[in-house]
Amino acid sequence: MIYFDNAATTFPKPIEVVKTVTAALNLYGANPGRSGHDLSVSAANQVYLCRGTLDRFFNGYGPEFVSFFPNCTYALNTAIKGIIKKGDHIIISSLEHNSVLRPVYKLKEDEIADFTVFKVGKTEEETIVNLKNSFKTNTKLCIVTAVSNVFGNILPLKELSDISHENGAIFFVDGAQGAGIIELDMKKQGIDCLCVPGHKGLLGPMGTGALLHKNLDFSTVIEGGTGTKSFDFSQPETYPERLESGTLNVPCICGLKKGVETVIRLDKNRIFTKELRLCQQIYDGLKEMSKISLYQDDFDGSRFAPLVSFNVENMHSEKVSAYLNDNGVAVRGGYHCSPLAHISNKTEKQGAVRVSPSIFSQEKDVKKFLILVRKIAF
Amino acid sequence: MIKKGIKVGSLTYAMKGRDLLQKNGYKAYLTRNPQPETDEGCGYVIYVRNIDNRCFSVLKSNGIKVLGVVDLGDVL
Repeated sequence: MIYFDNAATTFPKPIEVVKTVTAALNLYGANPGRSGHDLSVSAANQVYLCRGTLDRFFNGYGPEFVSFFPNCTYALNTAIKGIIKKGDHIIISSLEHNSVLRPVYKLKEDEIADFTVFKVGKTEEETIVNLKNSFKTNTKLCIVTAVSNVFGNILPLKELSDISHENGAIFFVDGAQGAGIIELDMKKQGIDCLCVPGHKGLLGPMGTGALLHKNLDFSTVIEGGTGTKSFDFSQPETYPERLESGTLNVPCICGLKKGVETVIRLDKNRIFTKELRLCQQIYDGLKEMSKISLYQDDFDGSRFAPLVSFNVENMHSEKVSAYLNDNGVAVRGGYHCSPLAHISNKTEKQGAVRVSPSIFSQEKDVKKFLILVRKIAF
Repeated sequence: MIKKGIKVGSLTYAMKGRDLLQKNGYKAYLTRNPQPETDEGCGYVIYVRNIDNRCFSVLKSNGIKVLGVVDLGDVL
């Protein structure tokens, strides 16, 4: 099978990640931070090392400000619902995934907060103007995706952060599609809180995600055992325990650390360049086909991350994806849990076929894919 | 010699503190607090050979709140 669905989850995982997870199941089987014995401390130490790795990778605010979650969605919910108070206003972009839209919408439904969607424009300037026009006196938070999971648009994070801070708002980033792919530097880009999945560009296993943040005052969404201050009925105030109740997924956190180390070893820029080259070939090949609609004006690495979305005439994207699957190619059709992005690009009827290669994809995979599409689109 | 451990708010801070102290030339290790109070942090302490005032400065300047010092007695 040719796997071109890496924007959903990267596969295959590097062999060193597989080996690390397997070894961790055998080596670090105790509950981290709960008991005093050596095995428990050893497991906790592995978790701590992963916090440090992520903190350095994203230039964060210290290992204590790295909390683990089962995925990026949990991290986003924790961050958004933890920071918003009654009467606040939130701004989100027109490319947000449901992992941002739904928590924000829920806050609106519950009459806790209101929100505004600003349109990501064709140019950076247009995007910036649209954001500037969205602030209200009670805007507490601006949250944007680093990269659109449908169309690959890279958002100008530093500029958006500057505007948010100038308007007295904090700036959160959904790093689901950007982490491990593009530059995400919390201090340089002014990111107050960054949520990332472990299983996409960071090459780690599923069941991992993280929230990196400044020393913000988060209320809690989940409370429970932390291994600290057991006689205090209130959730501890210290991070990361404040946000992490219950036993952590130690084997996969070890795998996540190894995944990040693999990204560092392979070189993030080299990964980006290779994936972009493959996407350029896909884009150029599709552009020649008369029945194809593409949604990126020009496949440019400074504006678009390595993924290509397309449609074939009026065929539903799920139908095209099913055809490709029947012929051994895995892509993602449908709506990608991003209704706002599809509405923005007027693809809400068809959805789109998303093709996302990885560092392990090859040119021969692209050629086979293009031959298959040509059969229905030329 | 009586062995002493430094109490901090969480296991993560204990590990961060241990690493910082080691980087600053101290022999520092984690160990379980043998006599935790009910209102205390994580139940772990940083055992440091030759605790001095600089230890506390290193921790405090890196955002680690020191909750106190505990006598580790003969548990080590």
